[in-house]
Amino acid sequence: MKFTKRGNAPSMTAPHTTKRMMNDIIACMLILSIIAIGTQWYLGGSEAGIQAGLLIVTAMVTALVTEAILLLVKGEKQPLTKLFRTYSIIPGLMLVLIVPVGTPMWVVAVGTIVAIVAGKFVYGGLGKNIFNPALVGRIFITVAFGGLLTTTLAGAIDGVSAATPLTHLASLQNIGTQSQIVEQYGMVNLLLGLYPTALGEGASIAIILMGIYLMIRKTIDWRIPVMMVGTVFLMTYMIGIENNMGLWYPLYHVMTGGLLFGAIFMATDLVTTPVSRSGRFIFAIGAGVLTVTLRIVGGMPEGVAWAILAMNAFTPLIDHFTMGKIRFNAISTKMLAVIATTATVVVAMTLYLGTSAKTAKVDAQAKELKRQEMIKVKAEKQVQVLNQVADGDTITYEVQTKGFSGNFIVYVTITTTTNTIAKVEVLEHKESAGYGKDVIESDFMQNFNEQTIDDVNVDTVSGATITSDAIIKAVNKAISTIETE
Amino acid sequence: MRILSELFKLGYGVHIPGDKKHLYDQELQWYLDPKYVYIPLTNHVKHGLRSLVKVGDYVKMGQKIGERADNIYAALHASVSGTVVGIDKYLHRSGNYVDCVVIENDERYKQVEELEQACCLESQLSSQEIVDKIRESGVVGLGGSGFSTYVKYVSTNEIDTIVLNGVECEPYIATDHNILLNRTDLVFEGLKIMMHAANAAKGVIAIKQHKKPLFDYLVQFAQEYENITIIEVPDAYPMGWEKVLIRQVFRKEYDRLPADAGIIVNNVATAVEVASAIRGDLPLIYRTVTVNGPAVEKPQIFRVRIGTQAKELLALAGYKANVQQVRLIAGGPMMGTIMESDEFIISKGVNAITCLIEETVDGQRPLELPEEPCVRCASCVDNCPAGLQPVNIMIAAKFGEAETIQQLEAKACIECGLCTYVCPSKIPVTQWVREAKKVMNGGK
Ligand code: SF4
Ligand code: SF4
Repeated sequence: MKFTKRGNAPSMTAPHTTKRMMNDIIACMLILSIIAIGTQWYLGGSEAGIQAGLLIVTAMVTALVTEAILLLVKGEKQPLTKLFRTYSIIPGLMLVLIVPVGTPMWVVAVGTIVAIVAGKFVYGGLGKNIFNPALVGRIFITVAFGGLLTTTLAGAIDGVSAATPLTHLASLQNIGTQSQIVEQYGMVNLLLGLYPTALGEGASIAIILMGIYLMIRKTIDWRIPVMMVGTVFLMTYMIGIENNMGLWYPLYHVMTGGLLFGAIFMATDLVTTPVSRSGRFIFAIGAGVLTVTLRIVGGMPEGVAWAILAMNAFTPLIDHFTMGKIRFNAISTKMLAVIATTATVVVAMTLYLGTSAKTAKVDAQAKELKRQEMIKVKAEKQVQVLNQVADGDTITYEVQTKGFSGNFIVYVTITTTTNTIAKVEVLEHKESAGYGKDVIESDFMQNFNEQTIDDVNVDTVSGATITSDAIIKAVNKAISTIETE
Repeated sequence: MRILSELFKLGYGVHIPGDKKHLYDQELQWYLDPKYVYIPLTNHVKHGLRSLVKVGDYVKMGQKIGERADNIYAALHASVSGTVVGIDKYLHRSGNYVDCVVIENDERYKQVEELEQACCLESQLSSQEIVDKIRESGVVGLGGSGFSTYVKYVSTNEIDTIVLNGVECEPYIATDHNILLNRTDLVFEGLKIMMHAANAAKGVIAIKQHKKPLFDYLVQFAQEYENITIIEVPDAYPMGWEKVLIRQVFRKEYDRLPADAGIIVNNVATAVEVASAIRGDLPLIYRTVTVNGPAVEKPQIFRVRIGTQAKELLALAGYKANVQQVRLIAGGPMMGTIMESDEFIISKGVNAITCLIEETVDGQRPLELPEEPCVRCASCVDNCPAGLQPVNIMIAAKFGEAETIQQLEAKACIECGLCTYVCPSKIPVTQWVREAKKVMNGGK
């Protein structure tokens, strides 16, 4: 029998391999890709579904080609074996799952290249990068080609990007009623991911199930997503309470904006998170606090991406801070300090954000009121009496009013003895045919005849609201003028 | 608080599947007539102990033939009677070739006179006398440490509990299980003697969970003894390490020695030998060894004389037909040393011989998994029972940063091997930590 000559204890290793972990993640990404294609198909028809599929393929191919080129450049001896051991397809897939369907293919390709080259390669490859590569790519394309990342296909009818739940929320200054916020999309749709958002971020239920699977397989550390999502939930719950919003509010925050995707797949990235458990505690809670902060005061729907990247940047520092041996017998003062600090930060930020959201909302509401007031004043200013001519027991007012295509003049004649309207006339105008012109040339103005000035009752004409309203306003102006005299 | 402790629950080990169930009801095989025995002049910690015999001397069974008499005392005894035919270098379980007294067995097993007079009950002896006897009879930790047992009993600390460690957390080994089952009375007697020697009020025997029959049997046995309880601990590695065991059972931590926490931990096999020594039987000249592993045809548990060559047992156990090359380990696969030949000596500390398949006849190498870059997954950090950060120690070792290694307290590593075991990238992390210790000691 031959015996092994050399080697060191231990002689056994666990069946758990890095390859298995990476394959787990790849499997999840592929399943999410399929879900994404289905969702887009459902929301935007076959065109959108195919576009989603094309984007995903673009990302995968770009990732593999880029990595292959890099390996060749580095002079790798077995580029093909190595290609599948660098798992570069992961940043590619992750990147494409966090961009919206309207993103042009070339932007996805550029993002993937940036993710792999600037996110990974320049640091020395797998295991050495500081930032999550996919997020580096995502942020790069957001900054460089932000306008091109739309949730609807280029050339679609309305051409504008449909609002994602978080941009919608931001437009309401983060505060509103359930009907204003949730009903815009529908609770069920929010759960299933049937709303405009990045390709892979919406399918909350699927993502949670995958997260549980990965936690059981120990591919990801359950503490990070649980603590990060928990922090976001807790903070938004408190902010919600402070502003009279119910449980739907934190749920809305948790389910949208890619929080679940980010917490489960990106904040758990092995390479770019701290190695000690206390370090990960700081990382996860920090990412949660930052996410909420960026969403609420930063007005940034991609809060999650920035939050994770920022915490990635802190990781070396956290690692340094939590370096050393764990004392099992006592919670060290350092640990206590960490717990106390995190708790304080969470509470303080919650209070601050809750109040600032409230102030912002109040401000916005006040502004809105003022704006409407101004519009009214302005509109009224545009209606003015230019001339008045008394002729026996009638007075004719020459009133300028604002129509659809500019100002025009309305002549309002009032019988002073009976306080009734004798007639209303328009002599010149620029109102368009089919709309205002038709009203003016119709019998509309005869509706005013013989009405008592105390109680004029004429409805606007649908289809030509602005023109008919302008005439009504002119009549009212004439009446108010005669009454003040 | 519970949630917090769950979030940070650390240092209780990892479950390692160990193929040994088939050995649980296996009968003990006696293998007591080797032609030669080779008594290594070492107590594992220190080689080159002084020999008390010369080539050509006739020695009796139980005769003291070597000792270490500096600050720590260790005694070596002849395990057969016969003639000393040489003092030569043989492979020891440390992986080194060390001087061994070779005795040709005359198969008469003549005992030294003093051993023939049966002794007394321990109740007639004072604590001190018991400790002296343990010391004289050369009993060492039989779980694998090889550390002289008496040392634990000369400590000045107040001892409250004696723990008998029957956890046997390494895969493939069932030595302690066999001892607990077949030599139960001696285990309990030994424990009683140890409690007496240390003036300890309580005795605990710790075994792994999920061994219902053994547990029930021991619980029943314990009813005849006062203050002895049987405790089940999770099936995790390294649950058998004193620190983890005490953490698990008593929720206590200590810095240097368990005695700081008022506890002494001994292996169950050690208890048996203590009982034999005190009951006037014999010094430590026998031990029980498991021969197991995927490469073994007939896994067995043997009772052998100290100094028997491993190959004699391996010949009885046999290798499986499809095995081309064996990774032969003195001890278990986690902490045992790889032996380059089957001619190594079963010294006091060899509790098992593990044979893993290095290569099959059709060229498969099941132990070889390609190494990948470290992905900083922190599995090694999460699982280190000593609370260290092996990955950081490894990085510091690569850069030769002695100071960082110091800060990371690499010397607290017990070389349990868990960091290598759990590393998904198959990096020999434990070896790096060993390197780090060398760097810290100035490259020695
Ligand atoms: S070998 Fe040392 S560093 Fe590695 S897990 Fe065991 S105690 Fe920790
Ligand atoms: S277990 Fe291995 S891959 Fe993971 S951090 Fe430790 S050394 Fe790196």
